[in-house]
Amino acid sequence: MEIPVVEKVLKLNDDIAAGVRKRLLAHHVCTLNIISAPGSGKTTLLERSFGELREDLNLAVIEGDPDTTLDAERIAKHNIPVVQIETAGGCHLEANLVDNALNNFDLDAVDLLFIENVGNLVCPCSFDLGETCRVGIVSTPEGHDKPAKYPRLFKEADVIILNKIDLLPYLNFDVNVFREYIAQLNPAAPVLELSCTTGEGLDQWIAWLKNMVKT
Amino acid sequence: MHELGLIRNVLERALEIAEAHGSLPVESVHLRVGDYQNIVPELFSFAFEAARVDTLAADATLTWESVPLKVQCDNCKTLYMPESLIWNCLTCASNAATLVEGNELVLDHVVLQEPETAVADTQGASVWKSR
Repeated sequence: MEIPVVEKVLKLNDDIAAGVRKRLLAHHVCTLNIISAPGSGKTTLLERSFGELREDLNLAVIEGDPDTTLDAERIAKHNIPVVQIETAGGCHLEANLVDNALNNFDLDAVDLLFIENVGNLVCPCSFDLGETCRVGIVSTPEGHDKPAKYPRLFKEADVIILNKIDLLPYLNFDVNVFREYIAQLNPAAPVLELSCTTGEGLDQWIAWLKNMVKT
Repeated sequence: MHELGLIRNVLERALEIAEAHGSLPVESVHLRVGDYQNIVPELFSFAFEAARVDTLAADATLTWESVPLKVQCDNCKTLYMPESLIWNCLTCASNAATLVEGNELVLDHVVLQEPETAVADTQGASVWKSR
């Protein structure tokens, strides 16, 4: 007996994500879903951004990790509201986890919410979290071929950050090749080169963020 | 390894359908999976075999149809089927395009055993069908 279904497998996640998006919009919260490999500098980039942003904007952070509250502890030291989601080994965040985490914030007192996804270049791409924008980060030690090997993130990202450019003199990372891959996959996405260690290029990122919140 | 989470959704839906039809055993589950979805077929099969144990779908087979990428050029509106996520229009060479097909991840249909033959006697296996 054949029963036709024709239903999206991710329907439940997509429905919850639509609800999250509506909820965030109602409170005028701009939300970024930050995706990268582990160790590319997601948390450090946030820590380096707070100083410039907090004068004008109310910030909040959701941290996603398979285990520990280490990243949330780092964020909390800056007196920014933060919720740690421990996925118990899970390789990505899903919309229901974000929806629950939002209950811990006073959303009327948040202008910009950073969601730091679980470090992974593949799985998080399949799950809409209700974000306003998707941010992809690569750090130079990972190699310039990452956009070619993990194209979906770079295809969909609204902005792409190349972090740790202070290490370029010591690596075989070819910035032109990296940019060429991105240009082929996602010609509209800005590529911001920066270093959280030296601070070089952070001003472009801050300007991009402020513009995103404004619009 | 997001395949396991996805397959749980599939199985849950298939079991809901089976229960709504007098708890008939599930014979097979059929998906349509676009090439854009980063799904590893072997992991999907493995996850299904692990998840179906001790359910109405314990002997069910999993079949899916692979849907290749089809995009439309944003510039000249030509439809073409790219080999990868790097898109270059065959007509005007623009690399700006919109995905038309290949993003599917759809539970297409479920086959339940007919009431009179509802005796589980076959060990299910996964079948990969490419379009």
